[in-house]
Amino acid sequence: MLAACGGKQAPVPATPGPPTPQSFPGQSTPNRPPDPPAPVPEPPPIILEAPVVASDPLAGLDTDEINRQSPLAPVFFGLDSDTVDADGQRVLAANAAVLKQYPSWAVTIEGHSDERGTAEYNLALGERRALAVKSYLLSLGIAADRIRTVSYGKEFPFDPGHDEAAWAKNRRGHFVVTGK
Amino acid sequence: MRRSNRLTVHHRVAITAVCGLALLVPALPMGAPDMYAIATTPLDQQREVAISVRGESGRAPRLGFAEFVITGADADLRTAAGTVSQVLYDDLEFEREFAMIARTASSKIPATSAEALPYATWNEVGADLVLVGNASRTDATLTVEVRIMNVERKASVFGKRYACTMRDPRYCAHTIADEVHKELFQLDGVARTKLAFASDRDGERLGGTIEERSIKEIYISDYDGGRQLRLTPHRSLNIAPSWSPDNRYLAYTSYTSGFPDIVLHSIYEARAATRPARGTPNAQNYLPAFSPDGTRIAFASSRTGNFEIYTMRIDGSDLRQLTSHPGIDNAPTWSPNSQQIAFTSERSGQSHLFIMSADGGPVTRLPTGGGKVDRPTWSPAPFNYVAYSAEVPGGNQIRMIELGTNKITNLSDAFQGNNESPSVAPNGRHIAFVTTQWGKEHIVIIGRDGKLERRVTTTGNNKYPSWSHR
Repeated sequence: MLAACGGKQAPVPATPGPPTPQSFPGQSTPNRPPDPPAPVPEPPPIILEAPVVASDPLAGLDTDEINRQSPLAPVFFGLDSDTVDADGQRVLAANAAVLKQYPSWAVTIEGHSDERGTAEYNLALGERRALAVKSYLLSLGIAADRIRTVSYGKEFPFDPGHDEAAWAKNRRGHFVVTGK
Repeated sequence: MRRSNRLTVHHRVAITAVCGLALLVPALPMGAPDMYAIATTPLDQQREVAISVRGESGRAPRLGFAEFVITGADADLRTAAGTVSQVLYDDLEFEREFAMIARTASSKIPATSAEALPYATWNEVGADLVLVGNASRTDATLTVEVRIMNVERKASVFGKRYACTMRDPRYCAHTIADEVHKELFQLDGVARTKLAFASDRDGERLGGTIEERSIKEIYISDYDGGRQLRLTPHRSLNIAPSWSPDNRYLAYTSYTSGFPDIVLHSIYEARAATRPARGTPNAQNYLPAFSPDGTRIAFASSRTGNFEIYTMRIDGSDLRQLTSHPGIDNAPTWSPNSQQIAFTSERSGQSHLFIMSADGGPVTRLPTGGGKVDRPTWSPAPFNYVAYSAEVPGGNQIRMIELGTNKITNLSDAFQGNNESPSVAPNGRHIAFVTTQWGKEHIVIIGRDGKLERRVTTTGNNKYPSWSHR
């Protein structure tokens, strides 16, 4: 029962308890200990915006499954820029709320660039983008030890196209949940 | 090892010269597939070679390339001899010391020994010189005799017998080409050099991510793109190889651990790669460059929160931070004497090239003009230029700046698309780089005059070329 609602909670081990006297249906058990006091019912949880854990669609998923649902939106950048703009700040405020909701999550921020500029420069630019995203999250109160950064430069474009539409998608700080 | 191997070859030559015998020494594995000795025997060597080759006008001599005489009817020998002659032709064409007469123009001239060479016929196709080859086989030994005959004088200007191995006719041809260039033109050819590069050609999907990403592994090939071989089994992103001066190790950036490490990989021995600069969440390491003296590796790292240039001993000890500037410092390359490092920096606004001592300290900007430039690559001694990529409308182009005169030459302007990541041949005469001319990223070689000399890769995306040492 415990395992059914927890998802990741350890199953209760079937340890042999003290021997209990055999009981038969309809027969009272004279040695039975007194019942524990009935628990005081707790007030129902106040539901704000966040779903309770019991109905959390992300509970019980592994990190790949979580990442497929993209709970942390990417931050997009302008050409040759590592500035988190107003749109990016809104995205990061939402991401920070998610990270506070799931305090056990660790994330890696991947810095990516479009195909323009040299491969070498874009490694540095990707690094700067990832660090800029991290820095903004720190300012929103997310602990540094939950955030890793890595730069992929222009090695892993999300859109293989060669036009501005593709490039805009590829200039990003991309979130990957790497631990939960 | 490279030096001692060369000594071994020369030593054998000396012995055969003294004894006057054809020493058919079986190829000895020297720890590396390409590093065994090929025994060479001089054949009726001529004096006044340079005069015989150059002719009066000083123009490149026109070389006819006779079909090889094959002694024996065995199919393997025929195949091996065909490889030797084609690779040798291509190698000789590559350095452009000879004006090669197309083999189609001379294919009807019968294969003969040097003694029976139909000089009049070769004269008709315009040959100043004719290369005559003979291939035979004893067990695993492929014996190739090469003579180059002066058509006017009907005399030999080059003659040697090579005891090669049947399992490696390409290396046999590359050796002959290097010796022909050395003896006739005092030129250090690059026929036995190699290229390393990163490629996604195998299309294997990167693990540990839900995105569709192809791994990139490190490959090596002959300089001309022959025998392309995957070196790394990491199934991850591996980029930016750099050769050790003995050509036995590659340093490169690997994301195997999840963070960019500098990996030192033994090419010819099965031993665990070392990681002299290990990536961590706070120390990520990019773009290694072996010092020409083999003692240190320069690289870029973001461990202070910003890209700076570092060097370390090849075992990772004695780490030194050479730059400390809020602008990006990146892409280090060593001077030929290992005393200076050129690198890219944004310290003056846009990306420009700078030179500093290998111990750090004051920097000097290279006057490459106003635009953004990157990936400096210092030419080997005694050449004195830095090749680099320069941003232009629509991409990048390869240029070089001569350090003595600050003269800038555009090298890749004949190529469309993006052209980047130059690497210079050890004889300074050729530059390999990445072009998107054909859509995907491919490695090509051009001369210092910008002429396309070789397309090295044809499948997948291929980048970060690094030319080996001689």
